Amino acid sequence: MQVRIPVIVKDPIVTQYKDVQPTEQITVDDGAFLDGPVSPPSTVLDFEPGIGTLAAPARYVAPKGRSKRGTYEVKHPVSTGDPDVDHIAAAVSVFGAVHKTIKLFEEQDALGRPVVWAFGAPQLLVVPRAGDMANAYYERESHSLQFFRFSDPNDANRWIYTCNSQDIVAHETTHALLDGIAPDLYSAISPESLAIHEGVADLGALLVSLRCRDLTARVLSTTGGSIDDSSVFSGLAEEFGRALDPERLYLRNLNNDTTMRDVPDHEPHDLSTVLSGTFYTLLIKTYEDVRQQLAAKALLDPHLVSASEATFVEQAATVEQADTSTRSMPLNFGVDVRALFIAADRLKRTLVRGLDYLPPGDVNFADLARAVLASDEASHPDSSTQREWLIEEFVKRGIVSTPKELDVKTNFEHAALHGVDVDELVASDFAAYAFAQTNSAWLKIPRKTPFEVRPRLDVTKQYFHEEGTGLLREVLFKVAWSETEPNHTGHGMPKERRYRAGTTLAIGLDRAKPYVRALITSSRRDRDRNATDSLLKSLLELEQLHVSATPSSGPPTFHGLVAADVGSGVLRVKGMARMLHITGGIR
Amino acid sequence: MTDNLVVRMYNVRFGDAILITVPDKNPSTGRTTKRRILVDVGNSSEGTGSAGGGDDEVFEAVIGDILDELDGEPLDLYVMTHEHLDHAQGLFFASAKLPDLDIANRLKVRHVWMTASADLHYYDDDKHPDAEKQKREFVEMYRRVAALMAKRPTAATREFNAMLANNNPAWTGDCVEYLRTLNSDKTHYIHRTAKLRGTHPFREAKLSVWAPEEDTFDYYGRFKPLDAGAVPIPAAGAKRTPVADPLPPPGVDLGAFLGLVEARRSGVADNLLAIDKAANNTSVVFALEWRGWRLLFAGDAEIRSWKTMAREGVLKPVHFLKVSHHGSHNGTPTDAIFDAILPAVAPDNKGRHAAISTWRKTYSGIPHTPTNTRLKKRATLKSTLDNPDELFYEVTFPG
Repeated sequence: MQVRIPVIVKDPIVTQYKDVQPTEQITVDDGAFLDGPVSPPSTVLDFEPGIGTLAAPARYVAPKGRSKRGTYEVKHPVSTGDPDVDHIAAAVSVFGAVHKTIKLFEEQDALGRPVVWAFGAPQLLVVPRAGDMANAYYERESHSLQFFRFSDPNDANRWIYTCNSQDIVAHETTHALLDGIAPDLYSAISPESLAIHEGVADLGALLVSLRCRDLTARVLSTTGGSIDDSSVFSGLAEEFGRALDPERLYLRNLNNDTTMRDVPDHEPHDLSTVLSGTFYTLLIKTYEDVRQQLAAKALLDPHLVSASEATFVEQAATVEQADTSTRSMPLNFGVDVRALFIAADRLKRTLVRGLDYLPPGDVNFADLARAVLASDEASHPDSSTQREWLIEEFVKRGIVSTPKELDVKTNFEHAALHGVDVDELVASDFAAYAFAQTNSAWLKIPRKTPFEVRPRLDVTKQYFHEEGTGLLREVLFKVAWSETEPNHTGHGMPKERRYRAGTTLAIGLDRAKPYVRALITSSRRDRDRNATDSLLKSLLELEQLHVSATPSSGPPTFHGLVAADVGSGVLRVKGMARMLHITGGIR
Repeated sequence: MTDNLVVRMYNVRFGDAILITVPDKNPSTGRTTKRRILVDVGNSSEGTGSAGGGDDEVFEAVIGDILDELDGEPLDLYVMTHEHLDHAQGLFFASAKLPDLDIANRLKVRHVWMTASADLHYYDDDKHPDAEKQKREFVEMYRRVAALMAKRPTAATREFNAMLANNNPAWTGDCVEYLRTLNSDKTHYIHRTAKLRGTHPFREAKLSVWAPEEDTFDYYGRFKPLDAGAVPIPAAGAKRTPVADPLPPPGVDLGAFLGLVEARRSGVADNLLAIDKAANNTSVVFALEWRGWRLLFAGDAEIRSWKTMAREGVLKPVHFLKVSHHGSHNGTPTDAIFDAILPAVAPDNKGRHAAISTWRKTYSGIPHTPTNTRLKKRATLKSTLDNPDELFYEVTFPG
């Protein structure tokens, strides 16, 4: 079953000055729908502010006649320039924006599988009116995305609802998605691990905003095809950002040259801009090159984008555009729009598949870089130009010192996989643990260390070769463990602390025998340890670390504090990312 | 008569009651008078019975012993460090519930020190507008938290209940009001820059106040805003506001939904902690200098207060530290501030002492082993937990 849903485009301010329709139509295909909106993977729970009861839900209107598409009744649709959005329209919009983000990640050429939430339940709870403050966050413990409202500093009678910004909704939904893909990041103690959450959430918002097809076309036509000249793409959450500071045009700027040397090593939000800036630069470079080639009516350089990849993206975009446009006729995609769609989808693939290859544990930007490069090589074996650009950017921004640090051996056969029944490895925990035990040295599991084999991911993804595209199966095998290291935070804290580490083994199944697509283990450098020391010191000085003297497994007593406990004289920190989401970090 | 200064740390379970006996020599007459300071008498209201940190039964023996020590003489100075039950409720309790002690007649107090913000006129004439705004918000937040918890008593942990009771403005208000009556003409509201002349009778011993600042604004932390729907605002004067929890709509898992409803209230504990910290940080922190010894009584000062003391340059090495906040990790500063009061190398070889009054299973993280370990490296550490059946322990300083 499908529903058509009007979703507020990108950000309320943008739709006003770019003269586009305030909403776009999203088709959600989730099997079943109820009033709310409620569907199997997510539901909107619209609590009345100040009262706490649930507001009247948006009423589901089942398809009529031969139509397969239902809808939700929105009596007061969003109109351009309307300062106040009806709560039903807002509830429907946030539902659509969440689903738009989920769909983008699940696409066959991205994760190639349905997402699994880290909280171990099927339904993400979305609260569009969670309370009064300038914030929005994902919280694993309550299975929820919570969007708050705050008073408009320019109009005391008006509220700014964070749920009305597609940027913010996509950002928070990406946090939830990433938590399902790489759950260890939520309890990481390394600033770079925490920054990955923020950076990827910003990039998720960027990718979703680039799917506002009418807006994209409009912006490119007014800038003459330049995406460097408009903050519409690189600036996130304009209304929110401007309300906090009139001098600011947006909440976050992805179009930056920030390097690791420019930001404090322990501040995750600042660090995240290095990561998001790296990938945004990749987007711009790809776009400009593809655009020039399309404009010259030349054949696309297969080292940059294979013909099969371009065709795949354009076909998907055409279908989607016809489906989502509010115009009566689909747009005629010009060179610029086509180039941006191709570049954006490549960025999506490179990033999202890289996340799937990310090893468990306290990973750093270099680990993510290795995972991204390895997965990109697997999915686009003949198109290496972007990987070269990425390597250049990782070095330039100080994520690594030399390209050599990014080397990952890919696509090779190994004795460990000889005679392995991969289906058994996927289905049986016993087989998986036996495999890990037998190959513990190869998987870099420290000796005499207990480990945990994660549920295996059996995925079928779209691959792009010079000669064509197709669906290929791979299995992701992840094993995690914990290690201890010296703790130099002072403040009376234990002399040792615990962190997580792990390995991802990507097994290719498109040859006669299973082979290794990539083997990536998390790395732990002095720089990571020092940054963790600094972060923990800051938390202690700001009284944001609540340390229990004995090990504790219950829920944290204090919501806005990082919980930690001490077991056998070792400090264990829990839910650090949660605190960063809720309180906005250590600033 | 022995010429020793004696600090007697009473075992009141989770709370403080400290009697300081000081031989005080009048330089004019050469006569030495045995003077006494009583710093706080109180304990947590949470956890009664033999295992509880808030057992009121302890007061009969403790206050009885204090009266015996006074032996009919007036108490020279009573110090209420801050407005928390675990520091302020003991004498009020005894006056109301322990008639046999007859403290109305037996306890005469020459001077009372209270933390500055306990002054009924503290906010008059718009003297501390920012602090007043904060205080109002804190009181309002307390009402909301208390109203919510009154409806859901099973949801609260022992620690939560202890904090809730400790910060109850009505209960502490009664205790503070009683303490003012100990000597209403000689009740002094104390802060770092207050003039101490005339607020105590000491001639030889020197008292100095290190905290709090007169304006308490800096001691307030931030609140997490709470939606009035998730944590209701009770009607004025109402003790309880019934709140009907909503039910999930069809298609939504009941357990997940109730978990979310609970999570929407989860800032309650944070805000209660912020309220608790603010009061702790208003603690009167004072030093007593006598015949080459420097003793520091830190109340429940937490990190914000210690940082302010460091900023104001009042910290000096001490020979005795009444460990703040019952030995919590927030109560004892670290690094440079810790070094300022207990340097790694002692300035003299007179010996150093640290004293903790505490109880287990009242607040999580107390006692805090790393803090105790740190203190032991710099001083001889004693705690009421060393011999929990003893009425008190003493630390003696020869004159």
